Amino acid sequence: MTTVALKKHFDGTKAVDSVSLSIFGRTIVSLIGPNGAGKTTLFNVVTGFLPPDIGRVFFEGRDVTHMAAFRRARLGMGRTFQEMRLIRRLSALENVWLALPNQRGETVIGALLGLHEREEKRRRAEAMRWLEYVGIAETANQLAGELSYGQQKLLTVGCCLGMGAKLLLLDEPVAGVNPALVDRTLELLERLRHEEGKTIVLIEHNMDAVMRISDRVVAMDEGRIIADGTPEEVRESAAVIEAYLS
Amino acid sequence: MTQMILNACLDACAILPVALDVWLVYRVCRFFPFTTSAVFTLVPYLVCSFSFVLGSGASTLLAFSLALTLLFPIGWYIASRVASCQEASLQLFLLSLGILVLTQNSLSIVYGSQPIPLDMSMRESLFHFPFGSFGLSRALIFLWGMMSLALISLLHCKTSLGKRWQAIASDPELSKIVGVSIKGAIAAALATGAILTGGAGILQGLDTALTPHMGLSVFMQSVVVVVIGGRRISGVVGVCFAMVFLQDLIAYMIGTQWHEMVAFSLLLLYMVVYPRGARSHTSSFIGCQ
Amino acid sequence: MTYLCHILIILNIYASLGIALNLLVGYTGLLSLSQAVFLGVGAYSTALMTHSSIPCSWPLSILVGIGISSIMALIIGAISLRFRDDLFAIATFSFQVIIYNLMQNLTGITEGPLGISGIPSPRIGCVVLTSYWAFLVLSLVFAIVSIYIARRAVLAPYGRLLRAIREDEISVTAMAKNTATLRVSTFVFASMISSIAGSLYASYLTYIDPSIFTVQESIFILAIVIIGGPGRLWGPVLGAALLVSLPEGLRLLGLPSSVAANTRQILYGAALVGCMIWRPQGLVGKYSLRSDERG
Repeated sequence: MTTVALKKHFDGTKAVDSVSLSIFGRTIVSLIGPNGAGKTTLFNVVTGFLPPDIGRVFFEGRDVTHMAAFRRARLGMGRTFQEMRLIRRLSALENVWLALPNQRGETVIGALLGLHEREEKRRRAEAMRWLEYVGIAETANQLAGELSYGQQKLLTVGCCLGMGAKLLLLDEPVAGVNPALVDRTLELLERLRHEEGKTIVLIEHNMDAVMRISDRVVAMDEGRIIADGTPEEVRESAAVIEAYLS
Repeated sequence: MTQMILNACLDACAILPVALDVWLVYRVCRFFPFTTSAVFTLVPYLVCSFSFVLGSGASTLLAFSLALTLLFPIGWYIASRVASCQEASLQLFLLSLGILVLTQNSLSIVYGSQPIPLDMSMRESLFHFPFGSFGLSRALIFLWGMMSLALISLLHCKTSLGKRWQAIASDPELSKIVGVSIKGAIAAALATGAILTGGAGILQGLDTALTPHMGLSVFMQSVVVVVIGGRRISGVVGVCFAMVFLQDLIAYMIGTQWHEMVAFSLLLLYMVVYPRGARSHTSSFIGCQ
Repeated sequence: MTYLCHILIILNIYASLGIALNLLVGYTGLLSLSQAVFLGVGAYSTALMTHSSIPCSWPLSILVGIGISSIMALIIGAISLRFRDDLFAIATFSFQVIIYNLMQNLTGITEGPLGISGIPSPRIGCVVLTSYWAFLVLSLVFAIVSIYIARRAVLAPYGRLLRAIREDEISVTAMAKNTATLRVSTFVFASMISSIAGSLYASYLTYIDPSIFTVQESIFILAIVIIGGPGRLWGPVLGAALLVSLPEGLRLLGLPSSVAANTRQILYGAALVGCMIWRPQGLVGKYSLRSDERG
């Protein structure tokens, strides 16, 4: 995924100011920065939930700048949201099942003709598999709204996987989660990179987590990238220290 | 020709108070208040009943008092729902729709659906000018329209009540935290709007006649004006006049039976061409220019 | 006895209308105030076509009705579905009024306020349905088929998608689903069912006029869904049972027919108000329009 000189304004403030970022496959990149640095806005523009004012977004060589959000998701861009978006009235299993692509029963005609019935068992197994992969298989039949906060965060990752995302943009995957689940989540992300070959970009404030699993860290402040390199390099960077202190 | 323009202006003044009421309530309470049309219809009918017994002044006062008392519990409920800062717009939308249906049909039963004029004498042409003539009722409509505009502008932009309205309109959650007393402000908005609308209803009765269904058509025109007019009062006024001019023009050219369609066609056209404008009410903006 | 038949027939027709709208309101969360448009299109298609000498005109008229309704639903949907809740309702409301005006004033096609009378009975091949019993069976079959179709749709992944869209559309978009297409297709689907109901209605009453297109009719169908309970398959059936039979029951008690129409509206107006204040999820609904219980 690459962005070129992305700019996004909100009522006069530059939320994202000339961000050019290239991300290559099979890595874990962390996006850090103080609140209001423009990280979530960047995610929103990249995934298509906000249109940029200037600039382009490329994904796997294709220009997706004007592509609708759901189409980008179909190409393989998965994301989670800072404010935990889940379908609470559906069970965990149903949430992942929902994300599975190309289901026959999702159109009116398909539903009426019962085209989904043949593949139902297969789909259910597939959804269960992703639940097991992220480690919350025991909650399969519980309503998503009843899961613990950490389990819900794992579920959102599970939905991205169910969708077949190659690039996962995770917005604060371990913020506010109890320490045991934090470890599990981080292990999960590493497994995703090694075993499934996924590319992961995460926004995180938890510096231990960032240092532990990132291959690369990008720091933002006031809409601009102020540092980009290995975790150690960025940690030592004067610009970053200043941004956090000011 | 100038008579036509004069008439169009006066027609616009007839709708203006209602449009301002809808604008205020929509900004502060975030739902489309069909209750406005209920008030528009109820108050003049009450005046009609009371004026058999009392003089016009007393019956007007009594009608307003009765209408406001009747609608007070509903208004208080609305205020509570909005003040609880939960998204209640659909619930209140349907609630107000139910109240409208109730009012329209109760009035239909009690008064019948034949048009009832309030006071024929007021329609007589009293004022003659080189550019046209109009009756006392139309003069009152003009005055009431201008007064509504002045009142709402003043209240909204200059008083502390208005500041509260602006705060609630832009961010109810924050307002509550900061300590703005929401319920009272909302109740005041509803009451002010109701008085303006009730007055407009009475004037309509004086000018033409009362029918149980007159509220809905005026309300829907107001909705069109408010959605297109946007967040500023000046926008509402401008669109109100423009729309009424267009309506009267088309009525003159093609015929009066297409009258109703004009407003709604305008609205849909606007929504197709400029959807962001239609949604502009939800962004935080004060609306004083 | 025939009076009871009459009530049941009307009940079945309105129940089907309610079931169609429930897909929109209860399952997808879209408050549509234009269902009476499709009801009227179906009714007028049947009325106009059966008057002509086209063979097999009754079944054909149903198909024509469905066709026209779908096209209108596409247009209305494409415009209205860009907006959230109350603006969507206002947009559909506007369409309703515009279509009503058109129907009233285009007297060349629709005979205007006079309406079309003497609509012949349904003729399927050689079978002519004239008796009350025939219509009762026909409307009952239609109601049952509507429920069956709705049930099939709702239990499929489609239904799950609709409920997900109702709760959080952004989430669903992030899961690579085209929510716009889905909502438009639901709208068209509901319009088709409503159109068939309209055709039945016209054949039964043998007289229709533009009053079938009024906003009050749309509000009534919405009230059936809301009061019965959105989001549950049987909700609209209960709602129709209540709102259709109660006013008729009052008439039996001796209420003069001059106030009958108004009384029916007062009843459902009051029910709507009461519902919104005390029981927003309707009688048996799973979905409430209050956002604290939304989803």
